[in-house]
Amino acid sequence: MSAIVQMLKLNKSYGAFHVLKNIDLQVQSGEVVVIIGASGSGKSTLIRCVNGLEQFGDGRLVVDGFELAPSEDGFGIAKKELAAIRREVGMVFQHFNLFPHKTVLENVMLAPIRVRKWPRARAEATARKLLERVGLRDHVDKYPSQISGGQQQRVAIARSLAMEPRLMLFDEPTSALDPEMVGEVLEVMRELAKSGMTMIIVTHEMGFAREVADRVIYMDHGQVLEQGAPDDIFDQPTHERTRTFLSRVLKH
Amino acid sequence: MAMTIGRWTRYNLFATPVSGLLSVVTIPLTLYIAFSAAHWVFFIAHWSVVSDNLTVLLLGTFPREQIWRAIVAVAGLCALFGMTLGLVLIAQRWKRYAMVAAVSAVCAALAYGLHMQWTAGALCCLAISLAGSVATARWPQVGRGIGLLCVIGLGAICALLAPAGVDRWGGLLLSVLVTAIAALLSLPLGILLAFGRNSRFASLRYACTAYIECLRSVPLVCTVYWCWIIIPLVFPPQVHIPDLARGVAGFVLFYAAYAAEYVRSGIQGVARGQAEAAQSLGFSKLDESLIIVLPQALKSVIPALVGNVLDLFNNVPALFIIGLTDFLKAGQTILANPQYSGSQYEVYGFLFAAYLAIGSLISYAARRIESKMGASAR
Repeated sequence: MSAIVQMLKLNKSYGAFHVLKNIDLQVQSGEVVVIIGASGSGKSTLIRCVNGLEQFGDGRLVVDGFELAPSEDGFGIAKKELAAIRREVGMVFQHFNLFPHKTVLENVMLAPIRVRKWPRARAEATARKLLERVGLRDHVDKYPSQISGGQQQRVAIARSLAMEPRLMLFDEPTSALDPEMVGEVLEVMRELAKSGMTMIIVTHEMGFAREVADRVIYMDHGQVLEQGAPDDIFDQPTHERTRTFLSRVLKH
Repeated sequence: MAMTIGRWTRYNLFATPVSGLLSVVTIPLTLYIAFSAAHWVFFIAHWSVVSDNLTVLLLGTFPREQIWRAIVAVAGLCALFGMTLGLVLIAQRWKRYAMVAAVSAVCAALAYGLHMQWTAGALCCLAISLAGSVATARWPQVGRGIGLLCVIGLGAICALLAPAGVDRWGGLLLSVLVTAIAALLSLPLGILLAFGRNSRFASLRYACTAYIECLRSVPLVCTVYWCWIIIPLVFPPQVHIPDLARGVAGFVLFYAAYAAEYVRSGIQGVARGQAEAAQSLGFSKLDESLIIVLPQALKSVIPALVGNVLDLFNNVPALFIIGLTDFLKAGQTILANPQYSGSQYEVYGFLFAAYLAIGSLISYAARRIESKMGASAR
């Protein structure tokens, strides 16, 4: 196993607000890492740094062998490294962010054609296969506004997978969904985890975290306070604050 | 119909004392104005001045021996207009439109047989426009290529009219041509300016902002005149740029600044997540802007951009400043003839009606677009 993500003493501030404090984190290829923590603890910011949607102030970040330089304001970012990383790292957002003016099929085909320069036929074949895999074979010609939130999020997952990424980032993928649709999205993610995909997941679904995670990370006020196997974190948290957080979210 | 006329009147016109008072004042006043206008139109006015000079009003001083060029150009413009309008009509009704088109074509032939040339011409225009709409409604690929079609079509029309002498184009044809060309050219320039104003390169951002703010702060007439006097200075003296091209350049530069502001508001209205999704998939900045952001931005500001075109059309008379004979100016040249000097009410009445008709058509299109997009919005 080799590390696909390496973070060393990563720091980031929004003005006076110190969002990420000395984050050290390694993610191995094939590993499923779930990040939990209260809102505002820096979880989303952390995974958004991995594909360069956010910049960081200092420290080192190596993703898939490409190093991203620290840059508080976005200047001095190496375009080539950033592009290389984004080709290999997929991301699924809280609000799906499907392209509303493209059909479901086009949403999934677009990046392989434009970015990977695949021929159209190959991109379409791959897209149809992926959409079938996430259970949306009958919706390929619809527009995102014509399908449910759960279906949209599954399309978003297929869209990321179409790029054949080596790492998938999930930024609270079920937080914007109606409760009855959470299950179908988690099912797709579960299947993905089983297939051996490397995943970093930010979520509030504790049951799901416990089930699929190889490792759970608890973040608090911009720090990695605790990490370990899911059973250890959920059953014997060592930190008082982890215990308080878990008791609050597991109560209901 | 549960609501009788009496009830409707009571609820809408006399619901409260203030409402009743306003109704008592405004309704008779409106009726009085409408009746006096109608009385003048039908019993007092002598419309012969308009029918005698219709060619001047529509074509200005266009050489009469080459008039076939103008006729073909008008037919082309009608077809382009119809195809564009077809985008916003209800596609399922294309058979109905096709029927109306066929009926107007037959009527046009009849009118021509009866030597009613102007009626025949108007009906022909209607038939060609409707045929264009049917084409777009029936074959969506026509609609997808409409931008390119308009560019090619307008280019061909200009090439067709050019041998008659660019400086002799005039009348309503000139007004419509200038509107179409300026609208078509100012949009891409406006889009570039809008992206420039949002650019992360400060030099570009400041330059575009300065351009947009300058042009929005000066009157159109000044811009047109300045362009007219400055353009010859830019080119070597042996190059002759026609007055019309210099005038259109002024319109393009002026309206591009307004289009840029509309497009910019559209770009800013596109959710940030769209750009982030594009970036996370590895799109280049260019692809992100052209494939993801721009289509969504344009879609949301189309009604405003159509309003911009209406504004443009209504301001074409500013071309008088550089001596061109647009629709309004053509009316004035008729009145300069002593024979018609007493007919100013008729001539201006006709201009008013024609502007109202064309302006209403453009606003109707804008409203249709708005409601069509409202229906398809999330």
